Amino acid sequence: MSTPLERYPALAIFSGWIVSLSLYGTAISPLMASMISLLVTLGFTLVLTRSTPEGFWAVLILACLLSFAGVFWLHGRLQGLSGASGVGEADLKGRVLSVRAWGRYRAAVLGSSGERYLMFIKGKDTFSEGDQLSVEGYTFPLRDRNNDSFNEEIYWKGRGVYRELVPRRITLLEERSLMDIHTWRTALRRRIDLHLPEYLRGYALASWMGVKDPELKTDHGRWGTSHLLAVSGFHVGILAGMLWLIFPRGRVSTIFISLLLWLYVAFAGFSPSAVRAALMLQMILLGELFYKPLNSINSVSVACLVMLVMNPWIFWDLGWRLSVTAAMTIAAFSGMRLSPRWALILSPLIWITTSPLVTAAFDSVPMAGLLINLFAIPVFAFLFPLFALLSLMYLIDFPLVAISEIPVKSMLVTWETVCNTICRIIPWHLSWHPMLVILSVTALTAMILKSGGGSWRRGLLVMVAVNMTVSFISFSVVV
Amino acid sequence: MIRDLLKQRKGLFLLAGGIICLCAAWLIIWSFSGIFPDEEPSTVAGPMPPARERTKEPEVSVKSEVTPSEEAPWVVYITGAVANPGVYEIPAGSRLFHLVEKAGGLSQRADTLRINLARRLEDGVHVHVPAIGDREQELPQDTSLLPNDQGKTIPGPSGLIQARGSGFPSGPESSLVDINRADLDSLQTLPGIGPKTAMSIISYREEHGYFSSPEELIKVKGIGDKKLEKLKTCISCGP
Repeated sequence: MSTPLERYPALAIFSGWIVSLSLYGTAISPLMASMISLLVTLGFTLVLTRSTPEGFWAVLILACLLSFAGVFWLHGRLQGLSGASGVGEADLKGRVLSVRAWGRYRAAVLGSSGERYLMFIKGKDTFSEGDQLSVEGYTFPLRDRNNDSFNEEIYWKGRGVYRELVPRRITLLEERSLMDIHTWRTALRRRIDLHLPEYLRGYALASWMGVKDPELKTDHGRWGTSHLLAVSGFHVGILAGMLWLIFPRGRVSTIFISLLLWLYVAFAGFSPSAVRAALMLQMILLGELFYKPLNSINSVSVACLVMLVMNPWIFWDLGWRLSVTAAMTIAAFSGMRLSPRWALILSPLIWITTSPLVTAAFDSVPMAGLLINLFAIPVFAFLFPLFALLSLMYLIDFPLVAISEIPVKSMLVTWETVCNTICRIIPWHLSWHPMLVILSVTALTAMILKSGGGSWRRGLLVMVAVNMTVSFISFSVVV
Repeated sequence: MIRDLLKQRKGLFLLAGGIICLCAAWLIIWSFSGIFPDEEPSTVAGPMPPARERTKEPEVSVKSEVTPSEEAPWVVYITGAVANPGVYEIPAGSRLFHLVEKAGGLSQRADTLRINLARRLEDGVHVHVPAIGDREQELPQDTSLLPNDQGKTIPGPSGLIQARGSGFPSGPESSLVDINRADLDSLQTLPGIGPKTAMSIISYREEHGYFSSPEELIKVKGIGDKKLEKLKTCISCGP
């Protein structure tokens, strides 16, 4: 029987990192946090191990060292990435990396000499992604201006922005580089805005560029299917699946698919969930390349560790957390090797495991989503490629596009009608409750343990330990 | 023999080792998280001052109402609508409400709207608590007893307490308005600042904490680059 360390060594390290990073901001020093990480990695591994095959102790020591040293380094990086304190004058040239609606303003991220600055701009300041700007003004450390559950400071830090720039004067420079992905994103967005009909525009913007249409966002929020609008493993998976169907298996095509995958993630704005999914798929592709199939739970864990190393602030990003939880649920479910008819319960399972995060962030989650998600994934796995094809036809002004859109429009109308009907039948919403946390943690841990096999008694002990740790940290330590 | 036992019961030892590690992790979290649920706080915290800046650094100590100081006690003079006006010795770092308490509290005639009980005091200051209906010209004019008196009433940084003497800065600095302490009226004495903008400054200060520099005023709604340049010569940014 294989040990958990053989099946998913990265998960052992990741579990230590999760516990320690959750304690960041409390009185626990980096050294103590590292020690906690080491003990958690060691503790969970030993509890689930019954025999020690050859090389077990060497791998365990390595995992413990990575767990300890990793957290120590992450703590230093979190402080290093917090940006300089105090107010400073700024006179800089930079490129607009992203622009998005932000209440009454638009939030723009300006990249200049390796630093990223956040600017809140009014409607009259019309510049778009990829534009080169010369800005004079003042810079300040980021801070959270909201009193609600959404922490603006952490949101931007998770995106590599650590200072705010209040412009005194902005000059738009006539320099645009064709080698810059932001220039291409702006060009694509303009084409989508100008050429696509309304019903396609929102889905194209969401699935190609990670831009959410407000009306579509409201509708999907009501149906409990907002995850369809965020570029995630689902979208990256559809693309990879299509590419696998088109290109024959082989080393050259694997490299080509990898390139296209990352190009898509770049067009989608490098959202945390997209990067996580692409990293995972990349590992699977590399496994194919070297004929070494990887454990999916381990792949998710490695992707998470890599992302945390790149920017540890992402740990507090809601999108990242949702993406990791959903991906871990899918990975554990696939590891259980159940018969295909059980696949139907995957969506409700994801709904359960992500519900504490969703309810904590958005106050409540529609109960109708539990039912709608049963068929949302298969429906959109079919609709998204169809939307993509139709959108491409519009973008190249294909002559028969008007006829082709009739069945797609009908399908979309049917989908909306069914969802609205279900929402009327099940109008209730679920609010946050501590039991949701326990249910989610128990379900996810049980699936991971089941996928790994082993003693159910030890599994039960681990489930209790995980629940106690999560509850203790959530309700007592991190207030 | 121990080796045999270890071999036979390896699984059990691994389990026990794992449980010990997890318990040790919990113990560290419990001990170092800074939460001591069974203990009463040793001091009572005063009203929380606005934070200068949100920080992830942990608060490990609870500040008492009067910040302990190594400085010698201050001597201050209080007149006006208090129970026992007079000269008092108070710990360095005290605020006005400490002095008022020492003077037996506010009298019924005290105009509580015109005083800022939370304002900081300084050594040798004279504080006058206005009564309802008092006007500025009705304040005591005899200044001979006040040290280094400049012979005129200097509005304190709060603008609501009438204070005289060397307790408040004199000279060029005294004309500067401290944007971290000034109230609505004081702010309106600044060029280009009306009631609305003054309110915005106070709202910003309450929401985000003290200004770290005069330039930070640019973030207040209604203050632009030109206005800030004008204001820079008239404002200070106290700690």
